[in-house]
Amino acid sequence: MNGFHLKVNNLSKHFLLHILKGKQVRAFEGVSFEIKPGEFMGIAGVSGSGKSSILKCIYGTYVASDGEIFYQPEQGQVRELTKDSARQLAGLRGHEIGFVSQFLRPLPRTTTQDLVANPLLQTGVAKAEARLQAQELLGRLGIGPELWDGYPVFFSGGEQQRVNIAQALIRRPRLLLLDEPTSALDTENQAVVVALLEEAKAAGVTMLGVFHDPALLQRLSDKVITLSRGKQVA
Amino acid sequence: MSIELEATTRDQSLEVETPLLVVENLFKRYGKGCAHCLELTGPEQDTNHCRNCGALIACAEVNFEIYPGEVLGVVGESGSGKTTVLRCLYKDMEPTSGRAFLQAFDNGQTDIFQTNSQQTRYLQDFLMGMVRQNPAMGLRLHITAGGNIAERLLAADWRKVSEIRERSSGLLDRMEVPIKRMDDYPAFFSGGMQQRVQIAKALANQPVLILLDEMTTGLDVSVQAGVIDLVKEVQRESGVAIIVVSHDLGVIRLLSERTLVMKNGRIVESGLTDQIMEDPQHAYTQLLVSSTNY
Repeated sequence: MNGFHLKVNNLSKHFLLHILKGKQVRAFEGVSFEIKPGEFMGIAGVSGSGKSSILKCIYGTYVASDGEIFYQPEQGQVRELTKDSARQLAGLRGHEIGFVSQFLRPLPRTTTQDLVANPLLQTGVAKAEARLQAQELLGRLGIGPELWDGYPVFFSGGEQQRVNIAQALIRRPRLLLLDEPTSALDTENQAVVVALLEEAKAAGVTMLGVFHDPALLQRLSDKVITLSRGKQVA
Repeated sequence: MSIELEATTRDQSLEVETPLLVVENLFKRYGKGCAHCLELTGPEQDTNHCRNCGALIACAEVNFEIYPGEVLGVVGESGSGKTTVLRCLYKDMEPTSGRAFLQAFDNGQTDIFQTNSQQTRYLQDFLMGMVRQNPAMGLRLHITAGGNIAERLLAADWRKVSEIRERSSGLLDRMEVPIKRMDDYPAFFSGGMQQRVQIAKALANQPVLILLDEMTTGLDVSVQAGVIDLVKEVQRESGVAIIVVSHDLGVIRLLSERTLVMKNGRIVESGLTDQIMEDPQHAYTQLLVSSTNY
């Protein structure tokens, strides 16, 4: 390994809002950092400072306005994600890069266990096997068997968030992007999620996380960058 | 009883991937046309009509590719040319110009817009399937549901009655159409059921590409969710590539990985579906996304 797993160079994001007569909104500007394989980097900052936007640029949900994102896949050459086609980015999702968003987006007519098993099914894993893995992961996150056949739309916020985490973890991505994965959880469930994240870290998963709770951020992170009004201040 | 849908080509390797279908410069014009048609129409002019000659440009400069096992979404307002693209691909209509290459057809060497009638039949009956917005166009409403599927199997050289019967009942069952309704006429089916029969029909010959034209428009949400769910499952099982045309962003979001946005006959934006929804770049896409609650 020649060093980094993910390297972000002078990354910027502006939104150009045509429907508001070309108004420009700045998300963040000139952000640079480097994450080594297996490292956990945290992003700190108040709401609206551009933390989540950085994650979304890396995941391809946002189109970066300027700068470079270098990614070292498991096999092959370093890729520059801002120049990759949509098809190439889609290929990285799941197995290489996983994303835990703040909110769960349930699929219609899909039970909890199938929702979590869904990413595995798409890679060709047999249904029974995928369900088994989903059940195990859900069990560990405190979602009991009585909820496995329930529909997540009816779940509480905390339960939905845990289903969301399970959905991202089941593919065992090499890089995990975490967008406030514990914001709706009580301390007990937060501890469960943190334990799971620490376990993933011990298994060598590289992580980039946004957390509101500074104590949690310090506990999990090997290093932290801080954003203020879209600029990197530390 | 469930039916095994044999996997067609499924290629996971991204580096050396050959597209399943490449469309180059697809252009469809109604009317004589003039030299200024292209510059006088399109999203900037906000019209499909050439004011110089009065011709109507249904679609122009349409370029895209789709890969094996992929679901590609196409969104846009009414009259943006979505259906025209599909109908040209399915050989329902003749494009004015442009080329398209299907990997499964002559190894992607022959332009599918330049085929003779025999080759066209082969394309429609063996390689592609289409689900139309209006079931009356996609099905023969006064032939039984099973008969509709059998007709397609016959066209693809199936000859044994028992096999045809088994395959059609298996497909209908897979699409959750009750087997006892197999010998009923689709004219007496509900809209959702008619669409499911259409999908079963499209799947019958294990095509490499399925074209879905507004398949859930007009269905109520619970039936819509059911149809979408079935399409997703079948896609996963069989690995067939799908082009989904819809004006409903919710449908596109649920089904497709990549999306094209069309306006006035042109593709104005393309990208990952979540990128189109959360960070739309083109003015029209921003308007479209901000107009919905998805």
